[in-house]
Amino acid sequence: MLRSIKYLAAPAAVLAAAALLTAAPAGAHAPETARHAMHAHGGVPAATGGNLAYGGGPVVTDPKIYIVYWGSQWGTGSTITNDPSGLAPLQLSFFQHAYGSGDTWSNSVTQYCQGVAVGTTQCNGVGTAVGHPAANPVAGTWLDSGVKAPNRPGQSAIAAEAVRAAAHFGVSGDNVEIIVDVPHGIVPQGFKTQYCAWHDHTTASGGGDLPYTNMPYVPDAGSGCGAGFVSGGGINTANEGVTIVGGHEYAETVTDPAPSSGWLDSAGAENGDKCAWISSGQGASTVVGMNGANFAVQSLWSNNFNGGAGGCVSSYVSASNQH
Amino acid sequence: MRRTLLPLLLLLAACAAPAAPPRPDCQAPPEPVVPQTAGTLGEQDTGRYCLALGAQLGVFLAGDATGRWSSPASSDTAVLAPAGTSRLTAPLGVTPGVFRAARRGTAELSSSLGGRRWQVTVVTG
Repeated sequence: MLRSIKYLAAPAAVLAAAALLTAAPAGAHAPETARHAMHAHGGVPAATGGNLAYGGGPVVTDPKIYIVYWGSQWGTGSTITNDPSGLAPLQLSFFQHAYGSGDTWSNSVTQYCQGVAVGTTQCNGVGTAVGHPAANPVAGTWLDSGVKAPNRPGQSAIAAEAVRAAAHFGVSGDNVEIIVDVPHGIVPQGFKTQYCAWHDHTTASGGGDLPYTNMPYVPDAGSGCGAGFVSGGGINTANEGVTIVGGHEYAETVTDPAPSSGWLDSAGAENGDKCAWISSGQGASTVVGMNGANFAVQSLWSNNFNGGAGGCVSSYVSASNQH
Repeated sequence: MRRTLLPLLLLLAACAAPAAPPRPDCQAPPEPVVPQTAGTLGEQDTGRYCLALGAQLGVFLAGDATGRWSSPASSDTAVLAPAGTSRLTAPLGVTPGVFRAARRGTAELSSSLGGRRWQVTVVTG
């Protein structure tokens, strides 16, 4: 069930869409300014906890993404009119391209699984693997203009909106990821200063488990949440945090939909946490092509990289073909 | 007679017993901002904070032009255990940490940035 949303494309959104169609140049590098910032902040991966190990909980075996644009601040009826940085079309395009052999970025998640012993670090084909979509995983979008998002929403309000959206779509279960898109200008508690986004799970109105993501209007945070972190590939660097952060949360959701019971390292980090904000060297954030479109992404932790020692990779075809 | 004296004796015995230790002087941490936490601390926070047994505390230390805070550490991980920072994407330059009150007691949380040191006391129970 794919419910369409109409966009009244702002100039920025048009530019972003045009940028997505531009051919990709060779590997992207962090701009000088970003590189300096990362050096100043000691931007190293949180890779101190070793490889990820299975915690006994569920994983996502057949990912289905549902996006809710929360509140009348996005627009009225079913038309988005307030999206100055073009978050909505960029985010939608990113997930619509994350499938099949044309997406090697998110494919590393398929090495993780459920149905194996707690503490397992290499599934080796045993158990049920995390799913990688064979086709567009976006199963629905909804502009919830019937409510107004609060000015400073907290966790419970965001969870309630996820439940409301799940009821609208008629879905629940661990294969569902509800992404709650908070409108431009609304700052959820802790956004920008403590986090860029987070994922969690709650209970759907029908009683099933419901993984969801709190996705604030990331471009509002500027460089703190990824603006200008990588360049190249014709992407719009002003809003690239949308896909860097959104991709981080997606990869963590499919490997740990009921935090923290899925795949984590000994320090409690998930596959996205361990590779966040790397500006150079192995696992540096970059621009990747996904089924003909280019997106800025961070790398993801791969247990079977580097002879099983693990590492951050941005492309994964197989255990023996990843980088 | 016996019925009348028994409550009185119990009351006297209670009064003679050592008083329960007073609740340590601690305050509730600022409100939580990420799921599964009961409060949030930052580099501007100082003093003693209360945390109920089993509850989790989020720590977010914002660096500056001079660098980034080290990962916050607990002085007694049996009392205040690190619980990882899954779920969230921290902003660039922010060092996160989550800690769980595992046992009744007192522990220090600390971090450093250059020559500066951040430290608070967490009272669990």
